[in-house]
Amino acid sequence: MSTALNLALVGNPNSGKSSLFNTLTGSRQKVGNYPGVTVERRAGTFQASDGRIISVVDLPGTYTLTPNSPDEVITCEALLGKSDLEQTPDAIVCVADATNLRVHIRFVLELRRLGKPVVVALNMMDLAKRDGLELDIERLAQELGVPVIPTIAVRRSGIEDLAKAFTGDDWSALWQQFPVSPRAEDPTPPVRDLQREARRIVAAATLHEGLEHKLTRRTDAVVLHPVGGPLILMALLFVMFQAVFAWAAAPMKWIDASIVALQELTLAAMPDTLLRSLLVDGVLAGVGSVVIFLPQILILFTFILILEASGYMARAAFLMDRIMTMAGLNGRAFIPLLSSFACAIPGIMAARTIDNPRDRLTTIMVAPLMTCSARLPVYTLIIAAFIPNTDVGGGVGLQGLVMFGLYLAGIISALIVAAVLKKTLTKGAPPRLLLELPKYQVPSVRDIFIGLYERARIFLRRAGTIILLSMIALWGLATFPAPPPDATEPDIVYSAAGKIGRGLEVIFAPIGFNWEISIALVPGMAAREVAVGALGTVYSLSGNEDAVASSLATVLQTAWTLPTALAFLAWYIFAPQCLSTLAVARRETNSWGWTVFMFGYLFALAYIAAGATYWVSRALL
Amino acid sequence: MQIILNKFVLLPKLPMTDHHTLPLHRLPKGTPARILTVGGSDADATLETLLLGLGFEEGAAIELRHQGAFGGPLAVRVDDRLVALRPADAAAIQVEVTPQHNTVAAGAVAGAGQAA
Repeated sequence: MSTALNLALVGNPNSGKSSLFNTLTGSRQKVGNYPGVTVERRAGTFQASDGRIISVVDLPGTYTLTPNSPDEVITCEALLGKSDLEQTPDAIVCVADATNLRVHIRFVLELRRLGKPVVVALNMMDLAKRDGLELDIERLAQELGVPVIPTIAVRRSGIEDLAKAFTGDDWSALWQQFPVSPRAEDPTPPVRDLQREARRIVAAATLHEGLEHKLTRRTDAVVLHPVGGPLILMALLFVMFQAVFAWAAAPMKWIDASIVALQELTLAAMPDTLLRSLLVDGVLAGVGSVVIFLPQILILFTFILILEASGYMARAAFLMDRIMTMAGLNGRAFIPLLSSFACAIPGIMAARTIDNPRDRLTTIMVAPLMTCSARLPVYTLIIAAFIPNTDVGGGVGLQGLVMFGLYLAGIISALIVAAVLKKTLTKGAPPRLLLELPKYQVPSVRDIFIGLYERARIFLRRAGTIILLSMIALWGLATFPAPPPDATEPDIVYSAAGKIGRGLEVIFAPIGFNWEISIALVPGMAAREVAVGALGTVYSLSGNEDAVASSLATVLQTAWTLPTALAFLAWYIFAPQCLSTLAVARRETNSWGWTVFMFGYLFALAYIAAGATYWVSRALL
Repeated sequence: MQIILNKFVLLPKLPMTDHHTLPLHRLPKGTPARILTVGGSDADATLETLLLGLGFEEGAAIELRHQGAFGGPLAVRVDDRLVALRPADAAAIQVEVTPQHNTVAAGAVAGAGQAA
């Protein structure tokens, strides 16, 4: 299917660009990465009113065509036709925030010089109306010399007008009305001249000045309060982690029951062959024990996406800045680090918004210390098995509290490691914080759903590929060679996995890990949550038939001592094993040295923390 | 009319130099002001570009809205947007208190001057 037009969607951060992209393309979008540079690349298609297929790429947000950070470089190169990755766009759609026009119009003035058709999607018209702002849109178009189409991306409004503009006839008519000026050859005028011109245009097109939104102002008085603000942030994070546990419990039970049912069905339907063992012990036990965490990951992401879309996330960065400064980081690093709670990979990629290379490096180095959702399966399993589900008062469960503590331990270690790094290896001038705090907005349900769908797809694809393959490989290692006929111990002891585990046990025994854990840590290199699946496989192959049917948590309760379980939790605060994270870190830092350093320091910290936890809890309990 | 006259009489009494202009991080909370200069000879060029890009323009209306605890960042309203920045970077922006608030600001500036 050939496309009639290639559009590039550009705009300032917070202009509602991604929301407009979602509304235009709906489900016809692909989220990937720019090869070599790991900025998220979002591209899709939509149909103009006459059925022509228009392709559109959502370029990273930028304030000017003079790039200050790596993701701004991508946008600028794509627009200037210098990019090998993007086709030079036929036309540019610039999303501008109507309530904040001056800065956006200045950017339009820069774009106009590129000699390409530029359409301004004047977004957030609903917020403009709410604030009493009235604009003369025709005048604005006339002054700019480019078409201006009012939109409300989060409510689909104006999108039809936008789609209609791209129909064949209207498109040619549009450019007769607004002739495209040739590419400006003279150097870009000083930014102050552009600002003056933008100011003049906005003043000319403004019929009635808007008043500041009272609710945003009042909310900020509370949310950004020097004392109240941080307390609200803490409370939000706490509610978020409690919800991850409480709300996910029921759907997780259903998934667990379905997997057990499938295992029983398979056991009943097939003769006792190697294939049956592969299906029951390898595929179902392994992949099932990972898929079960989908509800928790979706709940966590629902919170993150809502906080982002509502405008709160930037405020969180503001509130965290003082603490981050103590660690030598900047409030801006809070967003990459918060994304790392979901997964360190998007977190490390999001560090690209940090312009100072040293800060970026430090942020990348500590990102894996944020408790990623891949660790959730491990934490949930161990907490469910070993921490009693008692109420410590006020409706706060002990299990949730332990979980919160684990997250907190990750955050505190990240701050300490960052502070040490900034004093030694990444020494430099203190970083700066320059961050727009967007207006509060009710998030669009569609945007949240598209975001969740993307995360679910990525998670399930991992479960279906990398995790499935490691599970099958592990099953092979745990099954072959077969035990001798006169075997007295469980089969797995005689297998290759058993031998590897015994070998590794030499390293891990001092910190309280048995050989089953040692085996599980190996496939855990592929993805941290695989360790849970691996434990499932190891124990279902090593135990009796009852072990298969009963849940892994029950098995662990009898197989592990409490100090071992706690040491395992402590190990996972640091857990160096995740090949994808190391691969991204290698790409982003462009240095094997830093990648090896990351693995090394994480391993050392994990080992020390697990060892200390094991010996201290053994002495106390 | 009365008020305007008062202002008119009051204005010349204020020292015309330093007390009208002050760096952004010294601007008292809630006092409307206008940006006089962004950057300058001693400020680094990157900071200047970044500030200009975010909408800190000469002539723009500006007001300090929030300040984080323990010398944390400032949240200032520039024209119609709220922007967070650190006091050290805010020092690169010179502002002028808008006339209606001259009396208030003069007192605050005097206070800030003593503290410094």
